[in-house]
Amino acid sequence: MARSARTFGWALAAVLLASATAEAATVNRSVFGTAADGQTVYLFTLKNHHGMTVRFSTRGGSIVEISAPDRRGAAKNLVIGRYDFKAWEGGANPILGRYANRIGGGGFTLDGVFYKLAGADPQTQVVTHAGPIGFNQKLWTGETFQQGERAGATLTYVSADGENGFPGELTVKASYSLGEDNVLRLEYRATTTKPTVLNLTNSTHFNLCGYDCGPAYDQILQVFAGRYTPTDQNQVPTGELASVAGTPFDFRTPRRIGESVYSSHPQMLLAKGLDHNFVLDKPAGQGTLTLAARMYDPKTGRRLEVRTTEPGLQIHSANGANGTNLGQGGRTLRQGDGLSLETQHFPDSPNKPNFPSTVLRPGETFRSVTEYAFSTDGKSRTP
Amino acid sequence: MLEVRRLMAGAALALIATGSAQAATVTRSVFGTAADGQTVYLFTLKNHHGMTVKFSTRGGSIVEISAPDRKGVQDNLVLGKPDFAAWESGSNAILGRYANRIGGGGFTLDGTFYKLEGANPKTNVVIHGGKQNYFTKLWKGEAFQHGDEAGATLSLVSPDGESGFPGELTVKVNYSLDEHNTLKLEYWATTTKPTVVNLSNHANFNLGGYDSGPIYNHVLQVFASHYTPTDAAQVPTGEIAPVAGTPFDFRKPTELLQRLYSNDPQMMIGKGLDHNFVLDKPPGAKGPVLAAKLYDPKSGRRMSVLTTEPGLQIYSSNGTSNALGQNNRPIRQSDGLSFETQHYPDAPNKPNFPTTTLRPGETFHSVTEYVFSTDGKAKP
Repeated sequence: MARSARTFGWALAAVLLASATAEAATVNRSVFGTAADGQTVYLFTLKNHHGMTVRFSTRGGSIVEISAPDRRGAAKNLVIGRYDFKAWEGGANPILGRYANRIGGGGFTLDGVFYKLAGADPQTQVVTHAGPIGFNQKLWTGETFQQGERAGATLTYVSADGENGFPGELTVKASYSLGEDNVLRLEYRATTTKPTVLNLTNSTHFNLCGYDCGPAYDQILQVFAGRYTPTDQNQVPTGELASVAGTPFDFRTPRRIGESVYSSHPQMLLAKGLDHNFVLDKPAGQGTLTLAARMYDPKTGRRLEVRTTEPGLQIHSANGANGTNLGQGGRTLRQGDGLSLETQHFPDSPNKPNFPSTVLRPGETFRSVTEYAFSTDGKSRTP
Repeated sequence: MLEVRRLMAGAALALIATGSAQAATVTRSVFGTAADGQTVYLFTLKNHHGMTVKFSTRGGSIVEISAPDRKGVQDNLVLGKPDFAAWESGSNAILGRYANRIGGGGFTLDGTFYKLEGANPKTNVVIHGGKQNYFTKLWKGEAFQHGDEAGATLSLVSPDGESGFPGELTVKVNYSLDEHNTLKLEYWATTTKPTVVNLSNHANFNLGGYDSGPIYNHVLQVFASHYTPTDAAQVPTGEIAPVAGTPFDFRKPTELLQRLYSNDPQMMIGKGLDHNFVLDKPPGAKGPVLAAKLYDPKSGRRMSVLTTEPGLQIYSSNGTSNALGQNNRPIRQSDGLSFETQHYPDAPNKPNFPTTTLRPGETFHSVTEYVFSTDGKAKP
């Protein structure tokens, strides 16, 4: 009796496993809300059979939710969200472009022509995240897709020639997809009608304990970068590729985030915490998908692995959050609540000849892939 | 075997007896030389139960309060400054002549309006006594010993008209430590003309140690059924509001995390806790009564705050300036919590608040105690 029940159990498990491998993630589209200009904003929901849910809005591709299980299987939203539809309309955890991060000197020179950008800070002449109404606040069109076990949606935006001062009409596609492997993949493609510069990323802020756990200081970070790009006081890179050795930016071995952000290193004080571009250790030849960073929360056992084809990674420790704005569930957003892991080309590359080029010319296709892979440490896991 | 046990018990008794005869000590050293050439002194109080308290004659700034955790390990429990120059601007210090806020740029006393210096030009709010505040003053200091208590008396004469306040005010503040791990702050003040007085100390505590990060997991209890809500400029509206049903209800021990992230409109005005609690006082209470308890589950450290004052301002270090603290460690949001025993903010303009008026011939007197202990778990 006991033996036959056991045999039956094993058989059942085998059948379940077999069907599990045949399962695929799903995508569906719902109305998120109506924008101030009357347009419909959509929300895409991706789900898989391993406890993950991802939601993102057509407003800037804002990531509204990434829920993943902890070591006991309990799922929780791991991104620092916003309070309501209206707040999401400002574009949070979104796609940054046409040029993510900073450009100094109010613009850049390309093929001998200086392009002055809109929205530079009047005092510092720094343009952040491509100036007023960047890609994060644009309404993108969205179309769902299914590729084997991966489900997702492709967001498209056409940035007009001259938008915010950038030359060339840029057609951008960003695909977000989830597989049964608990990997959220972000894939970017862009083409242009004239020579231009571009830098595309997503600035989602993660807290692996959950959005409501408070600062992420006790979480562990590892970054596969032997160098970083120090900045001037306006947070524009000086052009130097400095070694992380002996600095609070040395995350080559896993380290508590709090240990780093509480450093008095001048670069850390300048940004009031982490807000720096890491130069990822890449094998020769650009464009290969390599491990960029790992984040781990000892409390919940959740792990995040970031892989990218991009050469840089901007890490920001939510230094400006001060209790003024509302986040998910009506909680306020406070300093250090989350950590962004923004895969990118280096800030101010258009003005830094020694940085990897961000120039895109007609006929070329810009392409990059970033993966956020979620898992747990498997400790005290319940069956 | 029995003999040995008896002998040991006897020895233990002897040790206890010597312990009770022990007394805390006070020493004075030179902290540094001020920009104007004057000598700034540092007083160090120590007892035989693991506590050290250091304070400067610059504003009575509390530079260190070290107390043992449940394993007996000492750590500095106040958020400090990196060096002497930084301490010179006054931190963890005595607040006066009027701690906290006065709205409307001044107050009316006996029919005369006294305009104060240093009001915010936009809001007309005067903070911590205005232009000439006590925390940046150089106080005189004199050491004393009373039984097992050792300490120092800091004194200051605030001239008639300073920052616009009427009357020459003579202020004395005793800081003392005893063998029961109580840091006592005792304040006295007399005046030559009718004036208003509100004296406090703004030490920012972190029971996990100054370098342990935010205090969100500390457990707070406040013996207050009411608090004084404020306007957008953080001046009390005059209402004495019940804490029931609000994030200000700490009548039972409560972890700070969820409260400090609350979207209660009052909490958002302060960007966290920065509010005056109306302490529940037993009628006829004469000595200090329990105002608040703070507990850090991680280190096992406990602190009780007792006071004769009617109010308690609790501030959760909501600013995000990342100024440098002890050992050059930047201070980040909510790294500490202050327990400022006080009369209510803006009392000179709020007839329904306990009076802060002091007249010639009267002596203002208040006592606040910070008592340190541990939960005793896993004690060696």
